[in-house]
Formats: sequence, C-alpha cells, structure tokens
Amino acid sequence: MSDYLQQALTGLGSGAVIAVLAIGLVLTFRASNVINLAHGAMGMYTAYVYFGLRNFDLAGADRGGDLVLPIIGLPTSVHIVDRPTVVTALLISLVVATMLGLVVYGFVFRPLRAAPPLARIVASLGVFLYLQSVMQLRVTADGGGAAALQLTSLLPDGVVHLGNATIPTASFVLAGLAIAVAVGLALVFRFTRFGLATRAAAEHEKGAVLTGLSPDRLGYLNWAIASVLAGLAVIAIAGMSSKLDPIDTSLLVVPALAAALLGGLNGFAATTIAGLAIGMSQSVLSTFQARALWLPDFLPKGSLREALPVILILVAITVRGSHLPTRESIIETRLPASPTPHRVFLWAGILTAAAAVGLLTLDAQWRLAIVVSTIATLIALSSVVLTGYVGQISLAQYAFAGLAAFVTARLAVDGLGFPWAPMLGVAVAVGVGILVGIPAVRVRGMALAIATLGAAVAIEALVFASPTFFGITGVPRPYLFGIDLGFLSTGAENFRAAFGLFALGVLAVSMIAVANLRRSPTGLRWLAVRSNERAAAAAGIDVSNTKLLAFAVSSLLSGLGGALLAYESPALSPQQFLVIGALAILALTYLGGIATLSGALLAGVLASGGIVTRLQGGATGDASSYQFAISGLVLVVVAILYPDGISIALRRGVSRWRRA
Amino acid sequence: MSDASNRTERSPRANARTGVTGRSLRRRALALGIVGVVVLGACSESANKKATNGNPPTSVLPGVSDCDGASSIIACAPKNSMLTKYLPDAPKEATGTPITLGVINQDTGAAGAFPELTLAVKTAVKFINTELNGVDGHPIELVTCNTNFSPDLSQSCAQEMVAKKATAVVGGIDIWGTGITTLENNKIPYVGGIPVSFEAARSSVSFQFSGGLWGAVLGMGKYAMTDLKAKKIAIIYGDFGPIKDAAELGKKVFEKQGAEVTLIPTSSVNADMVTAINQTAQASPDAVIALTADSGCKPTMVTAKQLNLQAPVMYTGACASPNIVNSVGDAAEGAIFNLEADLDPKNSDNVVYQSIAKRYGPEFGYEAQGAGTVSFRAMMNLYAVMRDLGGDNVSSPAILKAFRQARDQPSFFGHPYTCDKKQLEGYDAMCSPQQTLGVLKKGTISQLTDWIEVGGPKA
Repeated sequence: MSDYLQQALTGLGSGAVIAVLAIGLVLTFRASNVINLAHGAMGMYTAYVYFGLRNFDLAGADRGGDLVLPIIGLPTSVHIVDRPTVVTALLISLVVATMLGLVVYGFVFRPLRAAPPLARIVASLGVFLYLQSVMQLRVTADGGGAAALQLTSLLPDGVVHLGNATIPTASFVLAGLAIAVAVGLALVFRFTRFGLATRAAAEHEKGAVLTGLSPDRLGYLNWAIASVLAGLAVIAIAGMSSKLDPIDTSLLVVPALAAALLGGLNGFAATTIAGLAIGMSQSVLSTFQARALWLPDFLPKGSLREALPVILILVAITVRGSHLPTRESIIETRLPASPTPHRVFLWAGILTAAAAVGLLTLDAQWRLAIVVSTIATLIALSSVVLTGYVGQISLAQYAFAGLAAFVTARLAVDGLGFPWAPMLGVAVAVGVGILVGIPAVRVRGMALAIATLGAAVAIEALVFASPTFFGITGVPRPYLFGIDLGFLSTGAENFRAAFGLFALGVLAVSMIAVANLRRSPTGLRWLAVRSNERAAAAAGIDVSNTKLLAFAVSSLLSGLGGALLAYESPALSPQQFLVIGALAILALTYLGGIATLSGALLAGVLASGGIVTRLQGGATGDASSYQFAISGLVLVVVAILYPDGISIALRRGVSRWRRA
Repeated sequence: MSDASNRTERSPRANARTGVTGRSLRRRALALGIVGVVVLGACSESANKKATNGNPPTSVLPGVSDCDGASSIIACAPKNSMLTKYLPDAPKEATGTPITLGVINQDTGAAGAFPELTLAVKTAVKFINTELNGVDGHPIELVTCNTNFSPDLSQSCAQEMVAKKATAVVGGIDIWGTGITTLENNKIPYVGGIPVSFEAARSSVSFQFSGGLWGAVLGMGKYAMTDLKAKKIAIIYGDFGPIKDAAELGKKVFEKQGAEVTLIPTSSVNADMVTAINQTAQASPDAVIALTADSGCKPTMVTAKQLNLQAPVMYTGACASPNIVNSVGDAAEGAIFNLEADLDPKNSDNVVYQSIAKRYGPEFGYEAQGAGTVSFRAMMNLYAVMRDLGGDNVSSPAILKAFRQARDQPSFFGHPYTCDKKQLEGYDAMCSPQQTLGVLKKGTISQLTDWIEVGGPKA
C-alpha cells in the first residue's frame, strides 16, 4: 500500500465526522433554506450533555448525571439521574438534541422564512455565537481551559496497522456509520412519505402546501434529525479523539460546509463521499506539506490542509453554481429597503464636523474610539455597496481589508513611502476582490455567501499566515505634503488627531461617492440586478459587469479601511482579519441597515473599541462574561424583529411619529 | 433543584454590556490558537484549579504547608524567602502618598478569560499594603484595565496607564500586545505577566520572568539532547503566530546542535490527532515536544497512547492541569512537563505565595492558580526593585534603569533574573527563560530536572 494511501486512511475518522455533519447541513437546507452555521455548535452542546451525564469516573465526580443547561440565567446544570448507563445517557442526550433542533427552528428560523437570506445567515451566526459563548463559560475551567470531563469512547478500542500507519479501529467503524446514515437517509427520503414530502416541499413549497403537506412540520422534523445527527457525530469523534471544545468543535462546520456544497446541497451519498474525501485528503496534504521541502518559503506550509476544503468550496460553486438548488419559499422574501440618500453633503458635513470637533477637543481615549469607528464604518460601507445595493452576500470583506493592511505594512516597512504603499495595498485588495467576484457571476444568495466565506478562509490560510506578512511591526509614520499623519505619540498627544482627521476625510469622501453612485444610473443598475437579474438583463443591463464593478468598489472601500489599519495598529496580526470578523461586521451592518449609509455608520459606532465601547467606559469599563452570548442573542432577535435593520426601523418610527 | 445549581461559575458583572460589539465578535476565531498560546505561557505551578462540572480540584502537585494559625504572613514566613529582606518586624499598613501601578490583562474575552492574573496582582498588593508598609510607607494604588481580547482596547489600556500616570505596568495576558508600543513610547516599564506577543518578548521596556513558549521548547529540547541523548526530535505545534515561531526557533537551535528535527504543524480545528501522531511516529523520533495546550493536550496524550507512540512526549506546563491529567488516566502517565518552578513543598517562596493567596485571595476571589502565579511573581519582583530604590525614589526611569542593570537578581518563586538582553537571543525582554521539567508518575508530578539554562550565555 502506498505511503500516501496509508496516510489518507489516517484521516478516515475526521472525514466521517465531516460527512455526518454535512448531511445535517443538507437536511436543514432542504427543510428551510438555511445553511446553518451553528450546526457544529449544536452538536458540540449535545456532546457536552452526554459526557456531562457520564462524568462519574473521575476522582470526586461520583455520581454523574448532570445535565448542562445552555440558558443564561438558569443554573449551570441540573442533576437528573445518578450514574446513568451509556444507553440512558445517550437517550437523554438525543432527546435534548431533538429539543434543541426544534427550538432553534421554531424560535429562530421558522419566523425568518420571509426574511432575506442574509437575515438567516445573521441569525445562524447569532445561534453559533450564543452556544459557543455560553458553553465556554459553563463547561471549561475559567472560561478558557480544558473541561474536567472524561471522554470515553462509544466505539471499539484497538488499532489496525497498515504499513507505516497505525489507525484506530474506531475510525473504520465511524466511516461505516457515516455511510450507513447516508444510505439510511437516502432510503427514507426515497421510499417514505416523510421523505417524499420533504423533497416535494423543497422543490416547490407552494405546491406541497396545495397538496396538503405542512412545510412547518417537515421543517421541525428535519431540524430535529439534523440536530441528533450532529450530536451523534460529535459524541463519537470526541470519545475517540478525546477532543471536545466549545470553539474548535463548533468550527468543524467549515469543512462540513465544503462537503455539503460538493454534494450539491442535495444528495446524501455525494455529500458523504465528499466528507470522507476531505478528511482523507487533508491527511495526505499534512504529509505532503511536511515532506515538500521545495515549496516556496512564502507559502505557509501548515495551512495548506486548512485551505483545501475552502478551495474545494470555491471550485464547487464556480463549476456547479447553476446546479446548486435554490429553494422556493411559500412566502415571498422581501429585499431590504434601500432609500435614496438625500442631503448627503449636508449630513456628511455635519457628521464629519462633529467627529472632527471630537478629535480636536476630546481626550486620547475618545480619539482612539472615533478612529476605530471611522475605519469600521469604511469596511461596513463596503458591505452596504455589495450586499445592500447589489444583493451579493460577501463574507470576504474583512479578508480584503486584511490584504490591504498587510501589503501596505509590508511595503511601507520595506521602504515604499506614503501614499504609494497604501495605494498599492488597496490596489491588491481591489484585484483580489474582482477575482473573488467572478463566481458571483454564476451564483447568488446563500451559495455566494459560502463561496466568499471560502475565499476569505483561503486568503487567511494562504496569505495571512505567510511568513512574508508575519510579525510586521514598525510601519513608518505617514507624511503627506510634509504633514505628519502618524497615529502614535507620547503622553496625552497619543492617538493623534491628524491621523483621525485624515481617516475621517477618507470616510467622508467615500460616503459621498457611494451616495452619488447609489443615485446615479450605476446605482439603479445595481438595484435592478439585486431585484431580478433576468429582468435586468432583459432591460439591457450587463449583469456580469455590474456585479464585478460592485465587487471592485466594495473591495476598494474595504482596502481603504485596511490600509488605514496598517497605520493605526502598531502590530498587525492575521488574527485581526479572520473570517469571523467578516461575519461580525456584516451582521452589524445588517443590524444597522444593510442597504443604507446610516447602517454602515451604526455598524462603525457599535464596533468593539469604538464610540459605543467608549460610552460604556472603554477598557476600564466592566465587561460582562456573557457579553458575547448576549451579542449572539441580539443578532437573532434583531434579525427576526427588524429584518430591514435598525436604521430603517428608526426611520419608519420617525415617519409614523410625524404623521401622528 | 440539586446542589449542582450552586456550582462555581464566574458571575456576570454589573453593568453588563448588552450592545453588539462586532470587532470583538470578529476575534472569536482566534480561539484557534489563542487559548493555546495563553495557557502555554503559564506554568503548571497550580495546585488547585477551579472545579468545573462538579469535580473538586484534584492536585497533581505536591502540597505545601501554610500559615493557617499565624497572626500574619510575616509572622510565619520562612526566613529564606526572596521577600525576607523586605519583611518588617510586625505587620504595618501603608498610609503615605500612593504609588500608582497599572495592570493590563484579558479579564474577559471571546477566546478565553484570564481574570486570575489581575486578581493575583490585587492579592499581592493587598498583602504589600497591609503587612509590608507598602513601598516604604507609600501604598500601591492599582489601575486595572481589561483588553477584552481586542487590539484596540490593548492600545486604549496603555493610554489609560499614561493618563493615570502609572509608574509601571504589571503584565497579565495581552494576546495582541499593541499597547506595549504606547508604553514604550512613554517609557513606562512593562513588568512580567505571560509573554504571548512578540512585543512583550522584545520591547525595550518589557521585562519578563517566564520563558514563554520559546523558553519551554528550548528547555525541553536541551533535556532531550543531553539527558535522553536524543538524535531525532519531533515538534508537534499549532500553526499559529508565536507557537509556530517557538517551534521554528527550536528547530533552528536543535539542528545547529546536531539533532534531526521534524516539525508537525497541526490545526486546532482538527477532529482528531491520528494523522499528526502517525506523522510523528513515522519520523522515528527519540523525543517528542508537543506545543499544545488546553483542548489540544488531551487528544495528543490519548492518541499517542492509543497509537503506541514509543518516544517520550514533553508537554507544556499548561497540560499538567489536574483537569487534563486526571481525565485522561493512564495516557498521561510518564508525560514530561515544563514547569519554570521549584516544586519542593518546602520552597520558601512557594509557602509564602500559597499563604498570601489563602489569606488575602478570598477578598478578590483568587485561588493560587497557574497563570496567576506568573503575575504574582512579577508584582513581587517589581516590589523588590521599588523597595531597593526607596519609596521616595520610585519613578518609571528609575525602575527601567534598575531592571536593565539587574544581574542574577532573586525572582519570587522563580529562577534568578538577568535583564541584559542576552538571555534568549532575539527576545530581548526575557530576563529568566530558564526551565525546570517535571514528570507525572502515579498521578503526581515530581521534579525531573534542576534549572535548565536556555538560550543565554550559560546555555
């Protein structure tokens, strides 16, 4: 047996878990048109329930049977049974998983059936954040350490020796179970009334209702099954590998997404094969990267395996874009309101003047907060253009900002002066933005969101982790026409107003430019494409070029934000630009109003370290341990109650008040 | 409702932020590596880890005596502690004009919260002000600041210290280290804590009494080559910033000394460690260094045991947490850990530390814990410097000068320190990167080595 084949088999266990999680993603997508980012987190919670119940073999933990509760305000856990057997613990866990699936669908995604796809993404991000944060606080030592849980395996012990490789027997069992689940579900969906009904509803919801089916009931059932599968998968792998962690385990959803997309978000068999293949090919890549000494130094060798699933996502979407199913809903989804900006110069003047006065009169901490909000607004503005005006959900905006930041910093440290270094940095961001936009010509909605998520992770794995950009410090101070625009100084002069005013100027010009674009024929073309691509094409609009232009403008804005960050932050870190940041900034912009300039402003003001943080007392304020869990809840609630965003809700409130 | 409902959990504090703070949210994925880095820096000096999921803390380290019956710590402190020369005859509370010191730490955060470091400093200061007459009559006033896992708030914290005219800042854990540039620009000393950023390890105003990951990997490698006579070393590491840097430093140093080194990068989002351990086994190493921590420890231990990895495996001290070693059973038997401490229960500093924590810690909710120990040490070393200067002469420049001139100065519950920028080449701020190693046998860690010199002139 060849060496690489042996190595491939070492990835069988993780491939099986990816496969089962991916099947769950397919189920929830078919049932409710949701790509559930919280799927891994839901499995993680169920696994903690199981291992918490069985936690009585450790010294001092003499009875087990404690059910960990994921609800803020309730006790950490309740005792329900002494020393439960494996079967009892498993049954209780699966009942809990079923309830979790029902609750998440019933309270979060069912009310969002009429909401735009972005609302569902935001809501699933909210659930993801909530479960991760609450479990991190409830099951780990000091909110960060490893939990004192003994993770005993449900699967048989023992190993199989294949040449140089030693593979746990459990890996083969797990792979067999994954295949059995796929075959079982395929049979159920093919031959049972429930399966046929789900397929019918997925293909044509209105038709299904007319024939007496209840899409709601089908949704509940599918979510329950998906949640149980996620729980079983995580319990199995955690027992086998002794690895269970609120954050890492939740992120297993990323390779699972790749498998689900490769399977066309439809077929269980294809999804399972894709999952197993991803797990095994990651193992091969691990071996390859350790041996391929000829790989260039700028390539981060350890990250190749991380990049694989996302590159597969991109390929799958680009190649299969038109084949990915889109699910018709019984309720017509609305597009977020995008009112025409009025009195832009006036508002830009007032806000810029107010911020400038703040920069010139307030203390250093406030200057820092204003600068942080200014840069965050610029990046949020890029989401307004791309997602709000053109309807292209992009999760790569932070990656574009990071690209510009790192290129700017690298070039500046290597001697290229200001403004050439940031201009080149922004140019690189725009170039990559247009490249990433190419799949957008073929796909839209959720699929594009996942494609851009893939692009962001690929940029993260292959570019940000590159030694070329590693540990850059000491970016020279920027000077323009002899004026020192540096951010840092000493004493009370630190966080200099000059830099803040420059950033504010960039933002003001960008805001006015975007407003003018929105009001111009280009803006109307953007809205036309967002509304109906075929109708836009019939009206003579070049849809492809319109989308690509939006990607270019959007990445330009992100790039400007990133270039400013290169001068604002004394030490850039790749972790400042992780994909989860893109999700957060998109979620904030969505909350503010994704298709309005005021939405971007609200997102900037709310950004961590920005003006709202300062109002709360800044770094010396008293932060809650539950801050992130509460943030997750807020995302869910606002997505449900104000699908058009806070600024539109406020605007409507003011209008109603005026009429009254 | 059972007593389970009464379990320890950090309670939400007053004035909870309810707003959505997006740029904090975006840091969440940092957990991929951050928690690892953070805990890796911490030593395993902990005797008691907070109970979770109902399990009472079970120490894996030898216990120490304490001052339970004594009227004060001073009354019972052993006479050969690093603090002995600063102890008054009787407890005396400081009442003079205060000296302001800062603490910058990640008390809360999406990828881990480490309030124990701040609490350790508060506990130390309470003891100093209550029993030691402060700094020659000047009580220490603390300004604490929470980076909340945000690079912008790290900068904000540093500026807060400037605004509050802090004479020095005691470090905690600051993943980003972005604020250290501001401290450097304002010539404010940044003392101790756990060096997890390049800025903390390299800044000209930073003075560190822990080797961090860099010291750990060099100490373990030196032990492997000298004591285990290892010719081949495998390093398993998380492919992330400073962890990767430490692994590559190890490779460079060990290869220079004639060893064959295989680097095995891993991701924290791995479902299992089967591939990594297979790769390790295929390199046929004589010793393995596992730069994993936190949630990475258990899978590495269990999979190494399951796949019958033959070579001895050395882990960071963070993996010696009772939570971890108790829950993996036999898989941890024989594991070697870096400690950065003398585990002798009679070690005077250890006795003093545990006693202070027991007496003054409860007011702040502090128990003697691993990561907290490092900040406690930093506070005590800073205190010693201030006392040597004399309370009326304490200033930022004087402290900077004193640390820069420090040669073989006693360090509280640690190796004597020398801040000559030569202790660990390329990491100027490391004043005492020396390591000790311990081995886990039958559920208890025992000292395996004396202090190992790493990286410096004596290495």
